[in-house]
Amino acid sequence: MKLNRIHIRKLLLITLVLVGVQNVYSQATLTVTGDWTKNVEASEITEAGNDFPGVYESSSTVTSIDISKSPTSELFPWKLDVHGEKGDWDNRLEIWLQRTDNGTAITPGATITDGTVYQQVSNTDQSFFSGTGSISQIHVQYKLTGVTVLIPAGVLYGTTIVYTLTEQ
Amino acid sequence: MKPKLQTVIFILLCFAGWGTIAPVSAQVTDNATVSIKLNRITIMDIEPNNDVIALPVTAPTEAGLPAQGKTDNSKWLNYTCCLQSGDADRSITVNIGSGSVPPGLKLSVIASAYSGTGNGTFGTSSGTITLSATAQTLISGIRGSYTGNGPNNGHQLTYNLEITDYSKLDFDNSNTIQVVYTIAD
Repeated sequence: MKLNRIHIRKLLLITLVLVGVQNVYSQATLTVTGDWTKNVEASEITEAGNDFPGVYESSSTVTSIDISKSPTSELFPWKLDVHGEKGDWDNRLEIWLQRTDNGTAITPGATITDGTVYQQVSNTDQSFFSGTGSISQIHVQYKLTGVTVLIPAGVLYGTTIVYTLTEQ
Repeated sequence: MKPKLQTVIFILLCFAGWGTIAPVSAQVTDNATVSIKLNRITIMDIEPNNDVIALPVTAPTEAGLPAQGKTDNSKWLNYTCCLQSGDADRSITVNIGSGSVPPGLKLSVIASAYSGTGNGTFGTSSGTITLSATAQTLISGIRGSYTGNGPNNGHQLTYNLEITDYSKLDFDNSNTIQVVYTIAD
């Protein structure tokens, strides 16, 4: 039953390949594309004495999310959480987001629920939406509130929106 | 054959082990960025309108009594400012742009302290300003703020026309004076 060196090497190689193949094969992937930058022009105030409108919305398709896993036929359950990581920021500003469509099902029978009503992005993970199977082109819309002339101008205030996909 | 058999068994064990090695609730993350930038803004207007204010000198009703000057407080200054942190405060100046005050009379204006529905760091009134062709600071220290729009928001303007020298009055002398307000740093 003793193994010679050649066999041990073979076994190690096979083990490494299998582990690698397993990770590639079974791991779900999350791809988020599309940022949003709002430039508030002075011309948006046409009457002296007024503040900015206060609320700005992105286009309904500004961010696109792809969720997939091989094999694409697998109706694996998943949930997507979201939180914000503030960079240079003013706490009068608030970010909200909502899902604006169901995306395109890659897996036959794929499902998606929740997330279609605006929710505020906080600095801790919150449930956004969930589903089963692989879906591409799930669109997300953002809303910024609390925009006021009291916030110093000339600064690019930014928050990284972190999406976390969890297989359940 | 023994080593080959062991190899096959090992591979089978690896496959069998997938279920335990594979993460039960694997997590992956990806990001998007949301950003906003505000641009500077400084605008001001007079409410409720820029219509002419009439300040007639009223004749006395009894011989020997003085003629009366006139005051008007129907106008308000509204403004909105959005500034960068390092920007200088904004001020509002006032001067006579055209026309002149008739001889024997003095025209002055005072801006009230802020009142209204706005918010922010409003300016401070300099008190009574005797109007002349030279710009004088009426309100200073304005930073990020909005006064609210329309009458009863911002700083109320009170004009006062008073007689300073009766000997120079001309009863038929009527002048139109353009008063200019400028907001700047």
